[in-house]
Amino acid sequence: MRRARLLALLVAVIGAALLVPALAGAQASQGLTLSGTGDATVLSTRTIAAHLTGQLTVAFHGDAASGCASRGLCGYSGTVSWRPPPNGQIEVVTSRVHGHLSYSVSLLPAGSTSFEGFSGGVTTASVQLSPLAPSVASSCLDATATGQSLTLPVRDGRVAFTLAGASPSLLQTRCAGPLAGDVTPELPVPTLPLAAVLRGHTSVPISASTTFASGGFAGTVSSSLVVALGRPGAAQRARNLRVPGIREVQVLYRATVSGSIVEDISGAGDAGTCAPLGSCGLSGTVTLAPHATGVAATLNALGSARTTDADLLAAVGLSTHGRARGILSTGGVTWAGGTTTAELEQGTTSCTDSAPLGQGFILLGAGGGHLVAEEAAGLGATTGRTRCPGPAATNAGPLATGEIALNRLAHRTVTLALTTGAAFSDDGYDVRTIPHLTITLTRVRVRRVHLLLSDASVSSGIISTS
Amino acid sequence: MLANTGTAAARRTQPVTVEVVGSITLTWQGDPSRGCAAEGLCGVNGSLQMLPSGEESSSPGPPFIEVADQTSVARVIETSGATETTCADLVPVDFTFTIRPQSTGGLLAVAGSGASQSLPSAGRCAGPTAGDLAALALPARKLGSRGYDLSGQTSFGAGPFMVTAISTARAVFTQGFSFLPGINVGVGSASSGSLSTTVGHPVPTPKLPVEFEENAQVNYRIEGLTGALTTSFSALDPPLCEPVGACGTTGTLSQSFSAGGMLSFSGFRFVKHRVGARAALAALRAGRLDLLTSFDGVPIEETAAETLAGPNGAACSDQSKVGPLTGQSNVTRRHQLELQLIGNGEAGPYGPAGADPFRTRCPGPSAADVLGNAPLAAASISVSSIGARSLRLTFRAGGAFTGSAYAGQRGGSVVLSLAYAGASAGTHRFPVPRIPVLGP
Repeated sequence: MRRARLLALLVAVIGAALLVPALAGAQASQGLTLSGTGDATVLSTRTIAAHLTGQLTVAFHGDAASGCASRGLCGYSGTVSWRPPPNGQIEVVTSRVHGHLSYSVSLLPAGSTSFEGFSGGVTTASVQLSPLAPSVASSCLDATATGQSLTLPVRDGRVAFTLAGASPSLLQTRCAGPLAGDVTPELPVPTLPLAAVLRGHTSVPISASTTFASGGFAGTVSSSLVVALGRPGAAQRARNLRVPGIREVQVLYRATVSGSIVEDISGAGDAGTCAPLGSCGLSGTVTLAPHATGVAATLNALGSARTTDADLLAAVGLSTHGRARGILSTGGVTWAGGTTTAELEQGTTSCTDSAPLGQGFILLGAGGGHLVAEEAAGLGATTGRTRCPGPAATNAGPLATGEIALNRLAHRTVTLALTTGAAFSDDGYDVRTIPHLTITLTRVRVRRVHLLLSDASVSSGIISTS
Repeated sequence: MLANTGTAAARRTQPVTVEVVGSITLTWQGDPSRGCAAEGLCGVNGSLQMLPSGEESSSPGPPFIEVADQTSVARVIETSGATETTCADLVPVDFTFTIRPQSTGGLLAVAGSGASQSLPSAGRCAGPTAGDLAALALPARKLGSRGYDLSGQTSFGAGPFMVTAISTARAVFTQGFSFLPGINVGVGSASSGSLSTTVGHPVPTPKLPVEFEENAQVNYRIEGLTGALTTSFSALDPPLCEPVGACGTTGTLSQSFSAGGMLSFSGFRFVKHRVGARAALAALRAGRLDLLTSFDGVPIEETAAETLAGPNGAACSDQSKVGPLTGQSNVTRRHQLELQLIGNGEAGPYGPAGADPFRTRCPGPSAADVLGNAPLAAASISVSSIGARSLRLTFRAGGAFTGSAYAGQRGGSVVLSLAYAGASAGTHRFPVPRIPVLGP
């Protein structure tokens, strides 16, 4: 069901992203009056071809001085490296938010056609654990698709070429190793004026040869990465085209996400599968504990031109008079906050570590008289890797699911419990999830929106709401 | 395609959804009984696990079983004496199984082959090629109308390797395509990732306006494809060579080709009035039509021969068949037509993920390392020469390259000899869709 979920995720994420300023200005209301459109307007998108060369390489070992003993990381050593694909692009999106121009700049290492396969760069790891036992050597060999996009912050008119804002994280593999946050502070962050980025035809080296010591590991960081900006493309003005024949209603919520998902992890029983990952005999838990308060959530209902407001409102649980049949109702909650904690044992070694959870998604969908919520960590999102070894969950389905009767949404505040877990396999690992996750949705506003097809986003197939 | 209406028409066209769950794990080892010693591959042990859980394909016709895992990894440990080399490479896979009856009774799920398949392989590591793993076939058992059980274990030979496949996979069929109860959404082309969503009732097919299309086609029979392309390469310095275990290696690759069938040059344009065959052919040769060269009927097979030398006297040599390759054409400037030989399969993160024309069972660079986005080789001819009794097209390769783990040099050429085999031309009526319709 991955592609269908990805579509819903795309709609949900875009909706939530556009929602934030609208939500900030919204007045809490119990009423169901349909109000106007949002406050964030994308004005144009400009892309600049980028040729990427070089590699980021981190050689590391457990380091007593930075706390490897308390985390159980002293026995690990290895090399992890990220290499980008050769051709990508810089994307500069100009928006107007509350009357002010805003710029967001991203480096897309594989261009904008990377929706299907999450393609970006490749991270490769070769890590040894010694001694696992006197006669047993354990090594982990992995390659993962990472760095699909890198957010380049714009401050005071200058674009910062940092590797810290990569998603998925550049050092994320199934093997033990440092987090990107352990090494990126040691890397230079070259900056360029935004105007220079838009002109293209310049090179930005992110070169370094330095050391690091953080989170139980120490070692060397070397980077030969160079982003060579090429010819800028023409600015695509966002002349949004209303998609004819579609009516849409959007419900805005403030959401709180709490609780946890415990992943019960064991190394795969088949030696042919677990041995290359060094996960044979490994067992333990990884606990994902999101923490989000007052974040934006949305539930959108899309119907044909013949659909009435009552039908659309029925599809989001706010009317008992309309017919919800044939109406697409999806939405989501996105947040960034929380903690991942790993507690793993393998032979005589135990590994305990914590790290930021990263970004989280919960998909919402209404149908058949129910509102269904799915924690969507398996959809390419950062799933909370720590410095310990563990599964990547890139092919997992939802880690937690829950549902309530749709008519409960008639209440201004509603709570959903996601308590249905899942079981999945990842390279070298078997995983069973035990969720106790809670979302509280407080309705803020209901508004009529228009499904738009933006000129600027046609090439990437993005459908947005405004 | 998407249907979420309750109409009879929608029910008739409701697609069958196929979800493949479970895993398929391939392991391979150099096998002395299959001649691994002669190729220097006896110390190779590798694996690749495909986890298609959650992948779903949907089509209105007979269901096909698609195995897609964009994050599968080839992991190889190569032991030579006291030296151990490790290689890990990301190998996205996306291929289909076809269910066939076995001659001995029962069913077999056979991996597909062809240009649209991204079959599993060892990537840039030592191991079987995508062509070798096209032999993957799993035992299949029907689960009533609910799908097929593809679990089981099978072994087969692949060049100097013995490959074992262990499957826990099942293909589960359901009607419709819903991601959550009551919600049906559609995803357009699975390969392109484009999306389409329809809400409400299906749109009646609009009556399309008709225009005249002037067209001409000149056919040539392929007489031969001679010559070879060469690639010499060496690993980059550490640490760039380390992820794929290539440090200290050098090698050469020779690519030779064979082809048969017909090559067609065709062109068209929309006109206001009917045009005769002679005038249409003249327009083609004058460069007034939009030109297209069809390689559809040209099965181009490649033989790749690689020799590799590593540190401490390690050596590997292998010869693999790759195919079918294909071609494409572009009008580069007025009256000049460039024809390109290109690799096979859909583009993965690093180029073609299917039958990589640069890969043999020895470790070595991939097409993405060597070519980037460039064609395998290119030839140029004058448009006015189309229609001559014979044509000789010289496809050339050259230049230096630097990939993520290897650098090197390319050279050589192959000559495609063509003999005139007839032409057709004229005008026909052509319905032209104006704009896409998104809803009622």
